[in-house]
Amino acid sequence: MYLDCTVVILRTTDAGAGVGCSEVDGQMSDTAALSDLVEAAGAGDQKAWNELIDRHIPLVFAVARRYRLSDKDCEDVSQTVWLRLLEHLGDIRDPKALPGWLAVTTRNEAFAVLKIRGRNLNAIPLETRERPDDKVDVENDLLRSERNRALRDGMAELTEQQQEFLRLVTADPPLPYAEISRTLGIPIGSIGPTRARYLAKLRSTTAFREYFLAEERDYPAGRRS
Amino acid sequence: MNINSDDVFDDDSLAVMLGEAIEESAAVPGEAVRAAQIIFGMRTIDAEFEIMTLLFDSSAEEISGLRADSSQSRLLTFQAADVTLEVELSDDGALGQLFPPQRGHITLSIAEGPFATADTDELGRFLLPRPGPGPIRFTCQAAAVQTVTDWIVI
Repeated sequence: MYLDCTVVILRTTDAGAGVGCSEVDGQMSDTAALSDLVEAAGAGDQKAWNELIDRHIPLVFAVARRYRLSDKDCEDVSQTVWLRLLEHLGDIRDPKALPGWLAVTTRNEAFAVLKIRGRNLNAIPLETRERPDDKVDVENDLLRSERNRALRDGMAELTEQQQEFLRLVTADPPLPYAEISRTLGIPIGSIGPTRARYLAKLRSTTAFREYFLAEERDYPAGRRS
Repeated sequence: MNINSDDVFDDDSLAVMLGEAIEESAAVPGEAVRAAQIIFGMRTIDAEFEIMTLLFDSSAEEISGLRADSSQSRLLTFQAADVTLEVELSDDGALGQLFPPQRGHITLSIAEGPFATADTDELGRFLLPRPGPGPIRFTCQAAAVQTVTDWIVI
C-alpha cells in the first residue's frame, strides 16, 4: 500500500507502517480536489498550500498531542512536518496518500521529540510508548480525522446561525440549556427541537452525504467500521 | 469518546462527534497555521539541491526501560545518491562527517533561515553549534555535492 504513497520519500523506519492510505482516503471528489491542491501547490500556488494546511493540520496536531508534548514541541513537530512536505511536494505521485504520510511523519517526529526530551514515559499512554510502526493507531487517527473534517465541511454548508447553535450545543463540557438560551436569545424549550432540526440539516449537507452515506458512492471495504 | 461512525443517525452520537470535530480544529494554534503558511516562500531557493533523506535516527528507535535517556547524544544518518551525512547531536553541538570524506561547506538551518556554517576538513568532519529546540536541517556543498537533508525536529 505504501508503494502507492510513493515518493513522498519516507524515512526507512516508515517502511513497516503500511498505512492503508488508499483505503482510508477514498472519497472520490475529495481525492480529486486533493490532487488538484497538491499539483497547484507544487506549481507554486500559495493558496493551494494554505488549503492543504487548513485541511490537514488538525490531523497533525491530533497525532502529536497523543504524545503529551508541550505546546511548543507540538508546534515544532508540526512545522517540521510541513517543512519536509514542502521539499517533497514535487515528488508526490499519489496525493490521496498524503494524509497517511502526514500522520506517520508526525508520529515519528513526535516520538523522537518525546525521547530526546527525556520525558518520564510513565506519563505517556502505554500504546504510544512503543516504536511508532504499528499501523492501527495511525489508521484510527486518519479515519477519525477524515470524519472530523467531513463534519466540519458539512457544518460549513450551514448558515452562521445554525453553526453557532451547533457549536454551543456540542460544547464539551456541555453548556447548560439556560446559558445557551441566554446566549442565543431563544427559549429553553426550543433548544431540543432546534438541535434535532439542525443535526438533520447537517446530515443533508453534501459533505456529510459524501462521507457517511455509503450508497451514494463506493466505499472501500471496512470504511465505516 | 469512541463513537462508531455508523451512529451518526443518532442525534446524541452525532452531537458528540461534531463536538469532537470542532474541538480538533479549534485545538490548532493559529500561530502554527501561519508558521506553516510562511515557509512556502522558502521552497524555490533549494530546488536545485538533492534531498538527503533521513535513513537512521537513534531517537526513532525503541525506548528501552521506562525513562528515556536524554543525556545520550542523538545519532542521525542522512543519505542521497552519492553522499552520506552522519551527525551526532549532543549538548556540545552537531558533530558530523560527510562520506565519502571530502572538503566542503555545511550549513545548519533553522525554520527562519541559516543558523551556522562550517567547513569540513579533509576527512569530511565538521562541528557546528546547536540551536535551540525546533526544526533543523543541513545543507552540504562540496565539489560534486549539492544536497540538503530532510527537516528534523530537535
